[in-house]
Amino acid sequence: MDEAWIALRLTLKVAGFATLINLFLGIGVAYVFARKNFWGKDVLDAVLTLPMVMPPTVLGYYLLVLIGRNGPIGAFLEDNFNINLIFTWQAAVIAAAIVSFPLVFKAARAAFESLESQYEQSARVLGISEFAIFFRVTLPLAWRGILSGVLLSFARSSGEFGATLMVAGSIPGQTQTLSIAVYEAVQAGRDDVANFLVLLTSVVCISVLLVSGKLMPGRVIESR
Amino acid sequence: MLWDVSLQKTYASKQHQFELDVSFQSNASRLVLFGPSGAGKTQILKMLSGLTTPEHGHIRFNNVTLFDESLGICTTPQERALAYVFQEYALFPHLTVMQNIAFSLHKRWFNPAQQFSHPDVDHWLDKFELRTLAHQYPHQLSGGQSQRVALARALVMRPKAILLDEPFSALDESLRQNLRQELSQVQAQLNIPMILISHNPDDVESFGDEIIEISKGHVVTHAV
Repeated sequence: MDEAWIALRLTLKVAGFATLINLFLGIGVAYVFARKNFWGKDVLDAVLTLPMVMPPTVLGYYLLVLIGRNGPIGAFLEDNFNINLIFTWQAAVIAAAIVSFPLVFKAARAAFESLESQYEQSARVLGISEFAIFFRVTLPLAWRGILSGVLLSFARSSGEFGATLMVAGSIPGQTQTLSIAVYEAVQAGRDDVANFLVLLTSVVCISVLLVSGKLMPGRVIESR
Repeated sequence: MLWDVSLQKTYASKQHQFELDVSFQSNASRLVLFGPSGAGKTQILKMLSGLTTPEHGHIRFNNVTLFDESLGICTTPQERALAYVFQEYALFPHLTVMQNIAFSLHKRWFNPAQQFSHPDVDHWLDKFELRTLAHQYPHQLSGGQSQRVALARALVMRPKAILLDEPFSALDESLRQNLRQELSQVQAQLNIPMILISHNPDDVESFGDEIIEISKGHVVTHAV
């Protein structure tokens, strides 16, 4: 059953990195969308939300076209840095990050937009710089909403299947995450492995939910 | 001249258009802008503090130009250092009373710690009898207590002037009389210029060294 534990470790690694990327990217982009108006905002919003509604295999195909050896990004990385992303765990991270991006983006944007402007305004008249206001007022007040998106993003990343299989394949020990390992075990008729993997996945998911319940701040915050 | 103000701005929505066109000069250390709600008083105060920008006009305080559209001068709220007390106080819900009051004394990217101590904070905690509430959160405070915290938070930054938006409207009548007296004493002791906006004739009586009556975005009378 060693392969199951290896798959679990890989899944946590991929989901962890993907969530970390979305933590910065999702919150940053959401803040800009919540506070600024710019040309083409609606179209960009639709493009960034696309991964939520598009089949993961289609996303995986797009990714292959972009970061594959002949794709614009893939060719650039290969020529300049001798990096080939396809069939690596990093490709799995990229796939998982893109698929789960809208979850952080949407949650963070809603959290920023629902914030009453008077808190940021009163920090401004108290002489605090815009940058510090983000960390001292905006982020702490929006954090509850953002956190729920981040945890969903972690869950979605660890369950990613379609896009990951397209760009990272199913190499045991390297790119074979739990969800892919379950599929492979069933295909190969190895029911005992499949049973164990499914059990393991269920335990991981329940743990994530329990941890998320603990992380959510319990104190009721009301404004006066 | 203490205040030399001329502000013009047009607010247009689909339903109606509101034109704000207000000019006044005053040397009064207590100035009341009086008028019904919807007259544009809060907008004037926000322009003075720098939270919003007029389309045309100028704002000079103590012969220093804070804003002048024709000269292209527009200082930020942070640079103006005019304290602003919001109608609903806008205390930071995630910070304790003490942290709220100390907010402006700590310029960095993070908020003052719960154990933060500063002689100015102590001074205002004692002055407004907030010592026992220092570690409470805003949602645990009564209206009168919130108002004192908001005032302490504004005064601790040693502002050049203090702007108050309907400071007593959220309180019941019995409290108002006490707090009017308290504010009046503090203002006299610090000898700090103050602009107060209100629709309540009792406030005018207590603070109106000079009264500017505003209606539908225009100055109706200016009584000295």
